[in-house]
Amino acid sequence: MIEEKKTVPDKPASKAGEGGENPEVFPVNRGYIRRKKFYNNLAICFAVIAFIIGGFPVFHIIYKAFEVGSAYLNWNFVSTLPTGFPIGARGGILNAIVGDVYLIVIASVLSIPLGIGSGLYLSLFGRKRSNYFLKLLNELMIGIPSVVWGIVGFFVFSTATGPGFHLGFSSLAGGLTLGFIMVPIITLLTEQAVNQIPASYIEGALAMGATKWQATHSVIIKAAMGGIFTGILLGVMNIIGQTAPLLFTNYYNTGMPTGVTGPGGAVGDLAMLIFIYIHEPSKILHYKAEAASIVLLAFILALDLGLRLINYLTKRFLL
Amino acid sequence: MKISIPILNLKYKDDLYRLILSLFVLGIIAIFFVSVLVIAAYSYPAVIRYGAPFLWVKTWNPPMEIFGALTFIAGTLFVTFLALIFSVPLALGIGVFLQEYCPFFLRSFLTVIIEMLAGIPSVVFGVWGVLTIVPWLRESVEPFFNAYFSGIPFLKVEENIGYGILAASIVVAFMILPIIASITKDSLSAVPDLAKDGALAMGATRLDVIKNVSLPYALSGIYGGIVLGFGRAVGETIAVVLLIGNQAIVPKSLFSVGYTISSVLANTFTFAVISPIYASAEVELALILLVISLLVNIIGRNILNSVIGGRLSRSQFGGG
Repeated sequence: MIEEKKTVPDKPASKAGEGGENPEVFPVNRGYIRRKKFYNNLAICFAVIAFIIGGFPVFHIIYKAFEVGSAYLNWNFVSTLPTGFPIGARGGILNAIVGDVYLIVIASVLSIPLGIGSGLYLSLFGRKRSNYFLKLLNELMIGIPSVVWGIVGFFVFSTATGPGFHLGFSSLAGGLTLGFIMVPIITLLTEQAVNQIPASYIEGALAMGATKWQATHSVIIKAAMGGIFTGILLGVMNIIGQTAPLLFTNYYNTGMPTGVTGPGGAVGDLAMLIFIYIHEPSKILHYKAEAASIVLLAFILALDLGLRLINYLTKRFLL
Repeated sequence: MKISIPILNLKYKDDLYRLILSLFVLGIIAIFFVSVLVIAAYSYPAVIRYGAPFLWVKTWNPPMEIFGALTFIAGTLFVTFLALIFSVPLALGIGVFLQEYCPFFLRSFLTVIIEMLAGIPSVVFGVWGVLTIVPWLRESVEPFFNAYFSGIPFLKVEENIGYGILAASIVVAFMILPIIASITKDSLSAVPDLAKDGALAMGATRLDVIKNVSLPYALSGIYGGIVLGFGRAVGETIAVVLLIGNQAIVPKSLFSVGYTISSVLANTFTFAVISPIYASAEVELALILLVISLLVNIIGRNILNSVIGGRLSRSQFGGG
């Protein structure tokens, strides 16, 4: 019986439709199978093509930036202030790099304590209902468009009239506005990191008689370190590319800042510099914008590698 | 973790800790509500003065103090939906490829590429669009359409300059691609293996499994991703400012120039603050953006919370 069936499949296709006298238990429609396989392969092709189109910009952006901007990329470019006419035609982008450091430090001072504190509250003390509300609040904050944050920052920090802090167009105003953007990212990732710690770690500490504060600084912070750093680096990665909030809070400065508030408090910024240079009707500034975007992308890539290293080390050694 | 410790002084210390942490939480709540309040308060004069017609009046004339946002709303919706039309099929393909077809050893590497797309800042996308997409449209695409499709009103090329709705929406499509793709991938990975293996064991091809098992299961998650992508596209500013051409006309064709809410804010808000009512009208534009983004995010997050449990994929924090 079985031997017979193995010999049959060479030519049953013609008989498949006739039903009754077919010796096969399962009639096989080979055309149908061929069509199924064809459509499956078509779907694979479509998926691969979609992936290639989606991945194409990553490589083309880097390629284009190097093709256009690499002629200007040298040590002088990152270590001198912009000069010449139009401003930036000669010299480099030191003002933007220094300004980015200012903005990142100010944004971090606001957002790291706020974010980590709230993340710890959410995972250690949060009730179900309030957690839902607070997490939704943070997710909504992530979703608010950056230009809206810019307007909020303008009215809260920069404006000279009405209620507000009257800081003028300055690094403090810009940095705090960027801090607003960073806070929800750090909060959500801290909460996620603390929730990922095995419950036995924390319960063990509590069972030994530790308070939640003692458990936090002796166990939780150490075990959640990787996740918290991930949040901070993601936040920095996000704000380093932000331009729209800085338009209204800290426009741009071609020189060094003289303070953090008021006149002279504005700083340069890489994203802002690229935005201003690409707006100018001058080829050389367009090329310099691309050279500056290589520097910006290098910053972001370095942060990204740091992130992946932290993730790897966390998985390898901590959890 | 609801373990209460019966020793009184320890409990007291925890209460202090809780109080300090709740101050941080209050800080975040304050930031959110102050932001909403600032936008609402400063747009109040314009909301009162112009009322609902603000949404469908076409004129935007600051010296005469006539303000209507129709051109900007139309431009925003045009760019957003065009970007979604471009990116949703691509993102579905990418998500399906990464989760179902891709060989396992390549998966994490290829996911990194899509995550890198999410990390590229908006302004770099804008510069790339100015130096790559715009010349391509100007020199190849628009002459082609001009030669063969000029009779169709929606595809008419008015000025052969490259800048416009199409350039902006192509770049915005690439910017929202990683969000939708990664959420699609996460939703597909939440499909139980048992269901997929069962279908495969019945002789289904991979395509059958994707079509009849995975996609129906993951569909609501994918809707959530599309909704979040919509929210991101609506608020996209810098790349759009650089590419859309910045002319306050209601776009009639794929190749015409236009103006979006976010780009008019980026271009003119700093001039607008001189006149209170002009500033108020501009803040009302921001209010429209804010309301859209809040609604869209509430819907999208609720869908995603029920599908992939609120797990955050990295692509949602893209620069920008």
